[in-house]
Amino acid sequence: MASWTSKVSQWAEERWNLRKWLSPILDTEVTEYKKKMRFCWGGMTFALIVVELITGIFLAYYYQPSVKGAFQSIAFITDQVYLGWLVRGLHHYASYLIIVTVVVHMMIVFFRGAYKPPREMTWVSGIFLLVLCFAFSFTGYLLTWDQRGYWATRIGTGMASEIPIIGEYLMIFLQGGYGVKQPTITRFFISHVIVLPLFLIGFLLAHFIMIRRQGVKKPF
Amino acid sequence: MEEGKQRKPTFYPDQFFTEMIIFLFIIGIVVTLSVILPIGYEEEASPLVTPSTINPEWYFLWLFQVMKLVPPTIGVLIPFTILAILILLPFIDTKEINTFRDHRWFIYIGAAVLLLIFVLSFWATLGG
Amino acid sequence: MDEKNTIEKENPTPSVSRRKLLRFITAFLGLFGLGAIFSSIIVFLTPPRSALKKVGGWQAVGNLSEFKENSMAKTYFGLPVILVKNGKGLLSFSTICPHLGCIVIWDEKKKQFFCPCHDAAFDENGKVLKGPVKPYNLLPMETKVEGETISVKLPEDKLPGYPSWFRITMISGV
Repeated sequence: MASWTSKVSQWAEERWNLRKWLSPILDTEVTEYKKKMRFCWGGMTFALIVVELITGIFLAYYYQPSVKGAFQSIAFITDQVYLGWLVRGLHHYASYLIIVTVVVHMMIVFFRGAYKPPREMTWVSGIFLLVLCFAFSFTGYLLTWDQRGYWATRIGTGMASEIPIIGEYLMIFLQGGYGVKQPTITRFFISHVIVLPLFLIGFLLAHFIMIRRQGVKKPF
Repeated sequence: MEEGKQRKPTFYPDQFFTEMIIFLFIIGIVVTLSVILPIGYEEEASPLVTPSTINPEWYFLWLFQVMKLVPPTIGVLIPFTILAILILLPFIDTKEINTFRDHRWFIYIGAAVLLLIFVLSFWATLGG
Repeated sequence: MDEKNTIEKENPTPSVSRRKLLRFITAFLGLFGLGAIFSSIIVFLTPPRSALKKVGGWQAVGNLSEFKENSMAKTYFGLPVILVKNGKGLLSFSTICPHLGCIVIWDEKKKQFFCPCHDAAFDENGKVLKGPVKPYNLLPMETKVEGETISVKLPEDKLPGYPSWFRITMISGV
């Protein structure tokens, strides 16, 4: 007698022929040593990114990207919205942990020399993912429109202007005008919720495809 | 499916379920943190008052300390230099390695940079 | 036979170089197109000139009657400006720290301004005492009193010696 799970999978198989499409992904052999603890940090980061995406979508239901509304909507989410405090907490702490897991992941790759050919582009895409993490952190920080976020952005954009030649243009570009005001919130919001996530998904895919192709480096 | 002990581990189910355990573990940590230390919110932004104690997030503390010590132009170029070195690294260092010894200088330099970042971050928390 | 010969005569080596040329042109046009798209995006995202509103020139900041001898007035009308009245008369300067742009705070006990961001300190005349901003003082500004109204002149042009963000922050208002 077939169990109900195999019945369901047979039912799905008849309709969508999923096995055929998923087989190259699911049935790939993985090496035994991949089970070691030191190989889990990338997977952890991915888990946290999924948490960020989901909680981020929920927060966007209530958040208002405006000078007048931003802080109020944050307070509203925290105090009034059911489980709002939890969703904000998850979004906040997951972003902290991403920095931790990403840095540990990078350190392990660096110390094992796993960035060398043929994995150099995996490493480079990883560095771009790190840059994206900081871009997410920088743009997300302003959105709460509290003192910390506001001043961090003012100092951050001011620091950008110290870059030779392009600095002054870059500062106005980032702020969307003179000073950290409504245009700044608008462009930080759009970057944080649309542009950066698209880049993130692209680079993650590239990263995963290359890991699939090259496998993990053998331990010493 | 049943091939006994000869079956080699595949992504599904072997690695997949390991990853799922990691998923649950990490989500457990995040939920615990948000329940134990609810984040709340601070004061609304005010363009005319900088709070009397202002620290960046902990992962930027080292840069915050660097900005106290060097001219701004140099300070702001430091992270970009580090990124450029990291991107170029696999194209410069292509030598094959088989043992820990082959790689030791990279390990020492990497550890030194990490230590420096820790020291700078710690220094910044002291407010010096 | 004849046909075959003519084909071979028409398609000797030159076609290879022609193909190369075509490939080169395609690559060139492709790169040019990508460059055009990329630069258009940058241009589109650049804030237009009309969005760059400046706050500058003479601005009224307060009333003379609100002032006592040796007093510090806080910012007026949302401008990062502080007024100081001492034996020498009425002084005014910017409260923007010239290091990275935080607003300095007056410390009544020490009789000096300090910057909460990177520990710079300035005396009551705006002169830098310590910190990562050695060459810069708090920017002094022209002050005038007309009747009861005190006005200060916000800089509009480039400030020699001061970083470029400083001017942008000064003219951005609040």
